Amino acid sequence: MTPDDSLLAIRDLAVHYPTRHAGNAAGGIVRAIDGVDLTVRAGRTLAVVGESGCGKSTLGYAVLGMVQATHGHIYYEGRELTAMTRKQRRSMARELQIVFQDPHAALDPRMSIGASIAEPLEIHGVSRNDGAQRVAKLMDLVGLPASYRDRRPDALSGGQRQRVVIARALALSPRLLICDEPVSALDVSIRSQILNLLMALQQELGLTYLFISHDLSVVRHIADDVAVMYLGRIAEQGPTDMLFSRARHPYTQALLSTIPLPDPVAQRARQKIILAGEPPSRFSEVQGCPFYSRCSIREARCANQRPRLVGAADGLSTACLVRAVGGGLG
Amino acid sequence: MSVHSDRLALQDLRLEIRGNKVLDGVDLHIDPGEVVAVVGESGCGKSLTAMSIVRLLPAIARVTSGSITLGTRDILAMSPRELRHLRGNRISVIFQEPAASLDPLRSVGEQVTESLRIHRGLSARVAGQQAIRMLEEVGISDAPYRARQYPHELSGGMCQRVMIAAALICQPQLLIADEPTTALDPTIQAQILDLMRALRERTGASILLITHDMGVVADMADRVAVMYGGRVVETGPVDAIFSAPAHPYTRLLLATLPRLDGARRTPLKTIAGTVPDAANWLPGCRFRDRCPLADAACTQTPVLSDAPTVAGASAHSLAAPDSSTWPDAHRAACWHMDRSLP
Repeated sequence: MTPDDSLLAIRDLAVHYPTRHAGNAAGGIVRAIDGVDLTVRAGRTLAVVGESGCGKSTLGYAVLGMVQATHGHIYYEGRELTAMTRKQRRSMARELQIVFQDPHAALDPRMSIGASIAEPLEIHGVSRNDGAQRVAKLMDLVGLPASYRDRRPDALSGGQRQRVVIARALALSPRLLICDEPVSALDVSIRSQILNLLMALQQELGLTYLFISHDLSVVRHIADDVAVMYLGRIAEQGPTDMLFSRARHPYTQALLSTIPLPDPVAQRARQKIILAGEPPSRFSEVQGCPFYSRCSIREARCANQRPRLVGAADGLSTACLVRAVGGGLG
Repeated sequence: MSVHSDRLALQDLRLEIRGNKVLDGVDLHIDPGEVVAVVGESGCGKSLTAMSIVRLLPAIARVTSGSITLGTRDILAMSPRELRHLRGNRISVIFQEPAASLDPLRSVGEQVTESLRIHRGLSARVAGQQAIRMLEEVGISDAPYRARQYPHELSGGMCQRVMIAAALICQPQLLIADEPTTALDPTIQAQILDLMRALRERTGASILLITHDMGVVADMADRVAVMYGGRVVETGPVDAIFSAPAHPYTRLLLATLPRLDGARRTPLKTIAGTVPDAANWLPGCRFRDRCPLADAACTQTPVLSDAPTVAGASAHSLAAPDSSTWPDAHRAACWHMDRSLP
């Protein structure tokens, strides 16, 4: 069912939300994810990038079972998560965990650091004594001084709080960590500390990351593979080096060209692709290419033919009728 | 096309909050048509510096000395009436969170026309027509329809455009933009920066850009002021700051960034510790508890002095700039800017 080295395989996944949004004529369905295939290899980092509302966070929530898949399948080590009972799904918390963007919101302000980290252990029946030892070990692992155990989150800096969140996510020794914008809320000097920690933990513990981000320079640094999402679908995906050097999809190219380089000379010299407008409403059911309304190379057929991801010899898969090698109809 | 000729100048500005010197002798100037970026981490005094210019400081903040002047006018001595004339008319502000800065109970059109009606005394009808033109200029399609909508009906990017339209409608001399794109997606950020650049070229307005994003600084700024601990620790032309950063804080800030041309999956440079609260700032150089070069000399407060530059220096090197050319405008406050970082 899944390739050999894959830990997580997502097949034709769709997540549609019914909404009560007033005055919405399109039937009140948000197509947050609309037919996504992805494979995350064990011990590697797959980054999912895209803008607000592209479905990248929903993808993470679907893997964790925080939202229901409308159709499609998610496999973890060949076991189908989407076919599990609620109880079976809960036990998967030992395997899959998440680190959220805002470490302040993710921690209970009344709970000590030690209690926060120990909480998942208690829920999963680890004895108090074993739990205390495990907490000490986890704090050491993420670089928190043992003396912080009894402190409350507001006595910690943003970077330290994110270390607490990471320690708690690692409490049950998961193999897959979903990192949802883990450094976006942090100051630049702290950002590099947390990225270094995530890279070191991956090496030490053999973790697999599904890394959700809109920051392409961070993604380039940390990810093995990248998937670019637009309006609930994957526009392009492939090995990080290839995606950053040979992107074919016009949306990927625009995204890459808008990363502000911290180098004024290079920044002045480069050709920026500034997209007009914004992504279309997520309520609409797109007939053709989701990027059609903002695309500079669109052709008439793109309005009603839906491009499929087509792989090329260089490892990049592109969903574009105009640019994909051999055409995007698959 | 309006031509402005007034320089905005902050001289030795000192600000206290609960006895803490949150701004400690800030010197900064912005010439007409110039884009000056103020960079640094949270808690370094960037926003306080910006808000002191329009006198929008928290009530507990007290200016203890220094001056803020626009041309020959002393902003710190202005009456409430003069301040109202200044704000939104000569100096406008756009904030980071557009959705939080717009009034949810008033239509977009009302908010864009507000300053026109206050400062220019225009009728609702005439102001409304100008507002629609302004909304179109900032890239809002279907502007007559949007003007009747309320902020919650617009996306974040659109709210930020509305803020910019409202900020620019009186053609201010100076636009203060406090993290204007931090909350926005990359393609929308690119649109907003492009818009600000175009408006500067067309109206000759100056821009004070507050940001922590070095990429945005490189993209937009003519000059840069790096702040740490309520002080400007380095200032200079954007090319000098990026090619030959002199202060260890600036050098480290640039070195922590993952670079698109750098080696992947390698440990990134870090800065030890975090920005302390103003109550815990050290005497002398305030960066010294995080600085790898700190020694006994750093217990004395360093003053801004000329920074050395290197011909052909590579950007983001940790090496000390070590040559004999001394451009007058590039200055840093460090006793050891001639030394290389480990």
